[in-house]
Amino acid sequence: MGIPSKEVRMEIRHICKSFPGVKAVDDVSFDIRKGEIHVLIGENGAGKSTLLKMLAGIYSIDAGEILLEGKPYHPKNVIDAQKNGVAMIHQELNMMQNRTVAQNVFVGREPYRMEKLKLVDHRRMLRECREVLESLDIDLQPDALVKDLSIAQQQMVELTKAISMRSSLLIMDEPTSSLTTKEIDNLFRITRQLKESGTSVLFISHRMEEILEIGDRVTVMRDGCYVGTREVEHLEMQELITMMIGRSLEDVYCRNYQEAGREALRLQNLTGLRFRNVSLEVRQGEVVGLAGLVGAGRTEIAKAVFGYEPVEGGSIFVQGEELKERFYTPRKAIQKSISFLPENRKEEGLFLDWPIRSNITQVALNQISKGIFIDKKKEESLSDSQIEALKIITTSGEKKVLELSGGNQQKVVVAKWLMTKSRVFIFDEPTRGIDVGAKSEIYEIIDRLASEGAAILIISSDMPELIGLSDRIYTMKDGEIIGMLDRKKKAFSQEVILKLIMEGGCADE
Amino acid sequence: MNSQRNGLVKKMARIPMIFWGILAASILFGSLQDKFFLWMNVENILRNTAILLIVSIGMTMAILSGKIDLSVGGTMTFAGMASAVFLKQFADPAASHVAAALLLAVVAGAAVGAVNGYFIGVKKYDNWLISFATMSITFGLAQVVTGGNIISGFNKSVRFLGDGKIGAVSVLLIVAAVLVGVMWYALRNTRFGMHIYAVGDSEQCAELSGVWVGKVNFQIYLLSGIFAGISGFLLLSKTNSMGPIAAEGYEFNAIAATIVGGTSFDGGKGGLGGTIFGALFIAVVKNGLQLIGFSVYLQQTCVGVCILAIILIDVLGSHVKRKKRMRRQYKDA
Amino acid sequence: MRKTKWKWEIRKYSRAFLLLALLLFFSLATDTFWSFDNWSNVANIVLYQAPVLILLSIGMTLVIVLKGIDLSIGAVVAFSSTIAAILMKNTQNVVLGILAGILVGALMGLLNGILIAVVKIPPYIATISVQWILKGVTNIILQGSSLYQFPEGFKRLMQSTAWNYLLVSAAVALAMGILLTRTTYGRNIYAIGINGVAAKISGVRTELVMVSVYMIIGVLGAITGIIYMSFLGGVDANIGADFPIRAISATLVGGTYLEEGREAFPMR
Repeated sequence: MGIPSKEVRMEIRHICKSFPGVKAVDDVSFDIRKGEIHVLIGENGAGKSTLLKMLAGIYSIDAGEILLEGKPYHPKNVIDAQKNGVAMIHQELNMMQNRTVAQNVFVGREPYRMEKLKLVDHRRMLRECREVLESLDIDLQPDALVKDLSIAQQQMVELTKAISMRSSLLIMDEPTSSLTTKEIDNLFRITRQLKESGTSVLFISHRMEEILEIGDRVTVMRDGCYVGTREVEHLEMQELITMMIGRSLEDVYCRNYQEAGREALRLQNLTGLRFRNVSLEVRQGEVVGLAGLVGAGRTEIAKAVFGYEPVEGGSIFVQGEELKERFYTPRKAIQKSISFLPENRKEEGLFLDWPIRSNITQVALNQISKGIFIDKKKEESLSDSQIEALKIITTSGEKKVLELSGGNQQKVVVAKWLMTKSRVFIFDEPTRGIDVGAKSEIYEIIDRLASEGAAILIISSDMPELIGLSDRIYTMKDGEIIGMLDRKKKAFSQEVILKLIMEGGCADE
Repeated sequence: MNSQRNGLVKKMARIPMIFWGILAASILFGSLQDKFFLWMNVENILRNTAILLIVSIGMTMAILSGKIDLSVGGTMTFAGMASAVFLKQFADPAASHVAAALLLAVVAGAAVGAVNGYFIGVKKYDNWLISFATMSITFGLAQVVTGGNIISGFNKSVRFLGDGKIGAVSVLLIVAAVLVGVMWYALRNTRFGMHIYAVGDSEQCAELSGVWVGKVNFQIYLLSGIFAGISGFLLLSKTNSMGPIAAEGYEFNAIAATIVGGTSFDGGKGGLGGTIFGALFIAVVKNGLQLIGFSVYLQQTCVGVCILAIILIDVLGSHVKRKKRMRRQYKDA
Repeated sequence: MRKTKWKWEIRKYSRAFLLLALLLFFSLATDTFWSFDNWSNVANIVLYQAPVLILLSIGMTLVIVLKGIDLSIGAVVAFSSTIAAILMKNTQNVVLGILAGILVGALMGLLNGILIAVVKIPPYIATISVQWILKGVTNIILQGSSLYQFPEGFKRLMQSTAWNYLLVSAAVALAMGILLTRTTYGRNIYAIGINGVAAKISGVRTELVMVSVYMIIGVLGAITGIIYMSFLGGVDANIGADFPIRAISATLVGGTYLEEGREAFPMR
């Protein structure tokens, strides 16, 4: 590992960014040096992703300035950023599935054969693509179709694309979250290679080990604010954790654990398109966590239990009775007292253009109607009481959900499902992208539901959250359940869980 | 190199299916009606294919980019009518008049295409709604321009492009071959063509990668309008008449030709090569039904049913493919 | 979405403006414009056209709120009234004919609904195909000619003044309006239109609602066909050629493209 120069490539000064209802980035300043690997770390919702998107030209900068190589840098859009040498690789890969590797790498900048005629030179495209692939020692064919590649391989294509643009600053948003150890090693090898050639790399990670392994410096963000930057060499783990969290874990997740009751939800050898032989159970009064990397199949299991994904084998037992529906739909799941809060609340959980009231009452229309007619007064009173109970911050129940902050939007989703008085709740990434205050309120709700005897299944990529809330945790990898950890038998450990979901193996200790 | 070969094999496995379809239909009709295989009939089929094919160029580009152009039939009629009215001024139009009329058709088509392109590409309105609106407007305008009458009876110069021959070959076929050939090459070898596929595959990805999506969309509709204009003129030239409903149903057939030809509604997949076969297939079926003696109405119904069936197959097929793609591949399975 | 709203807002006012401009033009250009004859003529036209357009626009509004469309409605009108006419003439049973017509409308709606909601063919394509096929079938049945001279019973049944029709169709419109805005069914329709996925996850029986909406417009189309039959005194295959466009324009000008579908009734 070479010693990075102390010369500064990018200076970020007092930048801010707000969205309706929440200040995502609040007066952040730090710098990135030439040829350094700079890690950005912080809890979910700390503002890291937003910051990166501002650097990459995706979001506009509300206030503050950025200097790139000493000159003002104000990217109007992504292309502008790329022209200045700043390229970003997103967490959700941005690939054209039906095109080849080379076509993806050169999209928008396809090389010409004869300048005048503007005819694309396919051979040159393949050749140059192969050159970059080889320089990075990536084992991929330039004419392979992207849809035939694995997630890790597609990420390599994204890297190739960014590098072929001769970026001076490469930004990566959680590049390791869906990779196996071996794939991460490969990624880090390439990253080091880039560093040798003088490229600066800025990436987001949640994992301490990664920072220690590859980072030169690390910057911590919390609640949109800049906390501090440290040299990894002189880093103390405890200091880092304190900087990130600012408070002890116990305060945030206040669970009142109790004896679990009877079985409320049981899956037996459930098999679907993206998972197989899944067996798990959730009992009344329990909070059960489902841990796994992105793409492990957790959401698909949840949707299958809810009737939104096809089931090809195995059975589902609700309150001890087997589900024998031939055409199982969400409506039937709701009738069986199951609720599902999807991870994409904007696309799957809310009607953004509708007022809060209509969103809250949509699942329980029968409660606000006499016959087929809607009782507007009842709708108002029921929804208002939910708004109050969940402390949704809004001037009126008639406001469009679109205008609420992420945390309040999520509360609307929760309110909606609370109206159904379900006995089984499935939360899929319940606190993604919401502020700390709302988060703890949602944790309180989960705890309350559990103490009232509901059975709760939580899917979350936020390890501390999972550990802090669950009675038991199932771990998943590549479509299969590989183990179950019980808090009562042995305290949860983030390292153990991470290892399991990334590498597999057994977990019956 | 393996994947390259696989890709080629896949492509080859695709075309034969339509090929077999055309073969099967031809054999069916040929056996029912001897006249089918007469050169005169075959030539007729080819010439019908030609006009449909030229219109379908624009449709294929639109569908490739994940959109659609419902207005092509209307544009054909409008441009054709404009040319017809213009040409009727002259008792015996000379070649220069004919050229001017063709130019007029092209300009008319371009105008419609520009309108579509502006609202869809620049203002980003819904492409279904806008092209539908344009379709209604152009059909309406065609009615207005002629007061609902059919214009016919043109001289040889006018009829040259659609009906004439150079040596033994129909001029129309040459024109179609040139136009399709050029566009086929352009789709594969220009940035514009590559970007059409990119936008169709993932508009978001294209946008983030620097493709000027609005401009690409605008150009697609502009070209579609121009080709529709040209086809309108050629229709006039071939059939020696132009009426307000002359090109009715062409948009429907163009969609069918494109989909049958292997281009999918999803966008980003397929191409003009397939559309050639698609247009041929439709022309064969139409001609065959006519020869068997089905009334015009029965023909229309049959073609409609066929097209619906083809669309059904395409849509259901893409469902199956999506499911297959989503299915996880286990390492030990 | 906001951009689309602006476009239709402007369209709404520009149409009214256009109407005003036309009125001005004609009153200046001719001297008989304001005469009684002329106006009674206009009144007649409006009176007879209105119920038809209202019924169709109501159905179309429902479909458009669902973010779908029905381009086959014109052909459904022609087809269902043709079937009704044939049955009436052959069996001399007026009621049977009318019921058959309505049943046909419902079936066509069912077809459209299944193609769109279950097979998931894009609405424009599905309904254009159905339109094409229905037009062909209607033509085949009628062999290009038209039918008229319906049984006396029909004439007696349909014998009402134009005002009655107008009132009835206005009543239907009102009923549909209430259905859309004040019932759970209507709420579900909006939900599907705004966010089909969220609607499904919220327990709405998406396929059922969509199919039923297309069936409603199908039935409305059939009813329109029967009314139209009595106006024209005959049936032919080209009825309703421009119905879809007019119904769609009426709906859109009325402001429905977005969720706030308060249907206005622009009588064009």
